[in-house]
Amino acid sequence: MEWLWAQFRLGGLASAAGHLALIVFAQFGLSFLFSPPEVTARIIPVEVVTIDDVTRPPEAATPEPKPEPQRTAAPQPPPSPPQPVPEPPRPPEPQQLAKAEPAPPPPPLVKPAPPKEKTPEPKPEPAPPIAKAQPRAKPKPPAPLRSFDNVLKDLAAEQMPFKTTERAPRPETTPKQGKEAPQQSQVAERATIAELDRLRHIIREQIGRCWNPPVGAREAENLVVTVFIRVDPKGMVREATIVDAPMMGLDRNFQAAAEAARRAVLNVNCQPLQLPADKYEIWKEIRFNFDPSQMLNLS
Amino acid sequence: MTLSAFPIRRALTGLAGAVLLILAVAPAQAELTVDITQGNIEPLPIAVPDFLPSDETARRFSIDIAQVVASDLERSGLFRPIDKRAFIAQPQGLGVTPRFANWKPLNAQALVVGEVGIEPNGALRASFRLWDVFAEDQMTGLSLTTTQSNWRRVAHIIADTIYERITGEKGYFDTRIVYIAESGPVDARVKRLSIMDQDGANHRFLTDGRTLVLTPRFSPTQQEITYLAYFNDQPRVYLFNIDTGEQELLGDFPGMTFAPRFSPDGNSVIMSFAEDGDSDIYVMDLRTRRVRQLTDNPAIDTAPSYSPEGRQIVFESDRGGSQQLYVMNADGSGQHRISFKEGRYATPVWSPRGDLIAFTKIFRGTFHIGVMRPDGSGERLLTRGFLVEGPTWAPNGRVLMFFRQERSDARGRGGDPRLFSIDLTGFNEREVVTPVGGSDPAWSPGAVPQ
Repeated sequence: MEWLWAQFRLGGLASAAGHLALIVFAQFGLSFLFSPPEVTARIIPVEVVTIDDVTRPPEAATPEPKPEPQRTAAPQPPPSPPQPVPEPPRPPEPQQLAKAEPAPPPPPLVKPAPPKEKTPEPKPEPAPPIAKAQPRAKPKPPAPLRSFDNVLKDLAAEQMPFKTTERAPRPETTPKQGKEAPQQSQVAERATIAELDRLRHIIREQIGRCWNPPVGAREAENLVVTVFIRVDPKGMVREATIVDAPMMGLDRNFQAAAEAARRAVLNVNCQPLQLPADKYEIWKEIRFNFDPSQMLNLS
Repeated sequence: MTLSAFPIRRALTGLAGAVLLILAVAPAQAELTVDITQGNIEPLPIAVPDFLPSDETARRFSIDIAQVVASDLERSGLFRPIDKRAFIAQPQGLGVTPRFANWKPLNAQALVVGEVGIEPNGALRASFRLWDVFAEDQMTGLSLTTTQSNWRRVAHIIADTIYERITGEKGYFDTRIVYIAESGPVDARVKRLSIMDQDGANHRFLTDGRTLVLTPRFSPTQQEITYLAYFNDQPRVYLFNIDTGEQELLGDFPGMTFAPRFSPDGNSVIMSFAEDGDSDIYVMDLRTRRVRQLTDNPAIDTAPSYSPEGRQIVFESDRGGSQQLYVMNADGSGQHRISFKEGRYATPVWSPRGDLIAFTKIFRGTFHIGVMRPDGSGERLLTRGFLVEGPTWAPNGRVLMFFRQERSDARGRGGDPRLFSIDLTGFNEREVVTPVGGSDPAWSPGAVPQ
């Protein structure tokens, strides 16, 4: 559209149009008016058949060794017994196939350039090694794994550094206390507030590295997911349950967010949780609230 | 994500809260609660082994389909297909639950197991299952049949299904792009209307270059394009049918018409009509050919774009002294400015998912592509350059394509425009490779009609 505005500024539409017409005429003559463009873009049908969930295939012939009791996804129905239906349902015979023709070869003008990456995608930093559990008197709030401006980029904010202060993360402890405080009274007999904070800090550091929420989704800030887990004494997650699982079947975005949260707690690369063994009674069951709103740069 | 799901989400928040409350009370011993507010945004590692061929004739497709699926997912920036050389074992078959222990050490969070075969009638049949490796659960499965020459579409549909199941958003791989292919020296540029798959494959020139063609836009419902072409001494808006190759002049305006775009239902085209330096916005009903004027202002009103439900229109205007973005109702009422930051704004495009408006911004002497909410808040600039312009949305409203042009040298070399795509988060900017220079891209609507 810039060309258009430039033309307006340069002295009126009439003169611009006149010049353009002259150029076009000089370039192409009048013949272009009468030659229909060469066009071939044929749509070829594709038959789509969904493989029903019922057809979940049986386990492999040689079952993999399961060192520990199987995790259970509580609110979901128990896995249906393996059914002998390895064959996906056959779709009706495609009708249009006879009519479909192969696409004509591209005109010789087309020189397929080798795919090249002019702008390599930003590589995420490799996740640092898992933090070791070291009892500290004053746990520091964990540094954000990725800054606000990185999750949703805004070049204007980068140009004007003073703006970034507006986007600075809220101190994590303040909002945290509100939600987590009720738990403290219930386990106060066994742990002090400082001890609980330290455990939370360790867990956050570890699980946060494996949490990859869908930040580009519509209303991503509202996709808060609660996951309940059971942990064995070695710090391995043995069971992970999405608390509001019924919503998964109704909202695809929530389903994606919930599964991303479940992957975070089930990912063996972020386990075992490096937690003090003598506090196992406190951390053997953990409820996670995965809340991406602070990661989003929403003004 | 369907729009109707949002009220459901809100409605269920209460229900979910109730469930949460029950669960919170139920255990005799309270568990530890941890809020996770910082994650690690990175592409999801996914394993896409070669599909298993049913026989020798299907072997070529077994590798090619997996390759196209993997590169579709990779180009989205949201997935990282794992190098096949790292695989510990190949899947045993579509009908067998994978041995997840072979995939967990690779950090493969999802696994695609597929089979491909040739039917007795020669048709290609591809089936796949998507597995959640850590949850050890099947996420989805699909079986497709088509002609052998159509194997790339099968791969794109499979990639769409995977993308949709994991991200919750509609896929956009089974789509096409129309754009203006530009070749030749700067002072004698040949511009041809062209079409290709979103990954650059199946490229085809639609016009021969003797007609000067600009700003093509896809119909949301048909294999039709509207664009600007020069006829006699006037740039005017045309309609072009991709299937038949027919083109048709839209309306009989005494002056020039430009900046056309379809309405979301495909039944009308909105455009600018200019006379004596004054440009206003008009809408033409394609069935009745009736024309209605929507803006009446001595300034330049142009570049209109409908909201996805068709109730509002965003456009650019210099009525306030500089080029800015305005929103009005579809009948022209309620015109109000939405852009207020420093700089000039142009070519607004309403996202198909409705939550954002993309635009070109000229700010401190540099071009930018940015997004803002329809009320003007939340403005973010995603990329910049000597010339970056003409954003167009993928049908899922997640990815933008635009063109980028660098300054040409003193002899007029270089400076060919090129197409790029970028995620709306501002990351994953990539060139969409075209045979010659490319500008004015327009993304096709969702699924290609069958």
